[in-house]
Amino acid sequence: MNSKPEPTERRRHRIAALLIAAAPVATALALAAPLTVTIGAATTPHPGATLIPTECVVSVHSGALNTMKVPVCAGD
Amino acid sequence: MRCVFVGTPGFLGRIDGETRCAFWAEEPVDHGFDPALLIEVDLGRTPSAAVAKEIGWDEVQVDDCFTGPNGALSGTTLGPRWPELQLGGAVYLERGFLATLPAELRPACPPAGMSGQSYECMTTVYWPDGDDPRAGSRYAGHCAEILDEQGSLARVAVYPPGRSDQPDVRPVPMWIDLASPEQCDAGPDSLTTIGVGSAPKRGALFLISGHLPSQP
Repeated sequence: MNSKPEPTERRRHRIAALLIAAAPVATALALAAPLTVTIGAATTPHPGATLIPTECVVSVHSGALNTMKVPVCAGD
Repeated sequence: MRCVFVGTPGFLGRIDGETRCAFWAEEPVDHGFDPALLIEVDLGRTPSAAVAKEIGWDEVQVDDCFTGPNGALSGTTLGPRWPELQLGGAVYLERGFLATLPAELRPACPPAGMSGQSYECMTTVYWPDGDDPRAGSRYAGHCAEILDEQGSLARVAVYPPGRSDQPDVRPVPMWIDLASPEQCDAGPDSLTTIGVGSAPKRGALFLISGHLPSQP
């Protein structure tokens, strides 16, 4: 069942990826990228919502047992 | 007044309460899941909680989890989605809170396995009260290089956060006004180090990445 332990280097890259994936991106940088993002709430795509960057930066209340608030975005 | 957050990877190691937990900032396999290396934190002590006056600004421990301009979840992503608990994610620890931790618990910045500059793992949130034009804004640290300048405007090559040292990553060029708090953290005690004139041409640029929610 258990596979061999991963090489240390690979594990470290995986760790770094956790942070890079969550790094806040500047609005200008997101606009410069060729992305018209369909925003998702949690992992569920929200096909009707098109991102309007300055209006869609919504805080999600953190907390291990708190229910995530669904961001309110253009198209909702 | 502001909070400065330092990002670190986090692996959930213990749940202590509704919003309180403890996490490892390093791969727990490497130290045998040592409970002595757990960092205790209250994920409810965020800027949003301070805006809602549930806590004081001096009690903020972590940055919020929020949707960024690219639609992705950003900020502190560890554990905000009960019951689909996020066991691994990022934790943005407030710098003052970080300083209260024992030295052996303070996460490396940048973390192991990640290159780049420490400011690429940092964000800052200006408290919403007061006259500072940056009030209520969040800025994210980027590595940037000035390519051209006209007055306070600069054409900068901006690297994605945490990836300035990667050879396959190309920076995004853009014109920005280095004197505008609507674009970067321009003002007294700015964390941005690059600038026009005699200022350094490569270094930290804290670009705007959103705003705090309005007070309820």
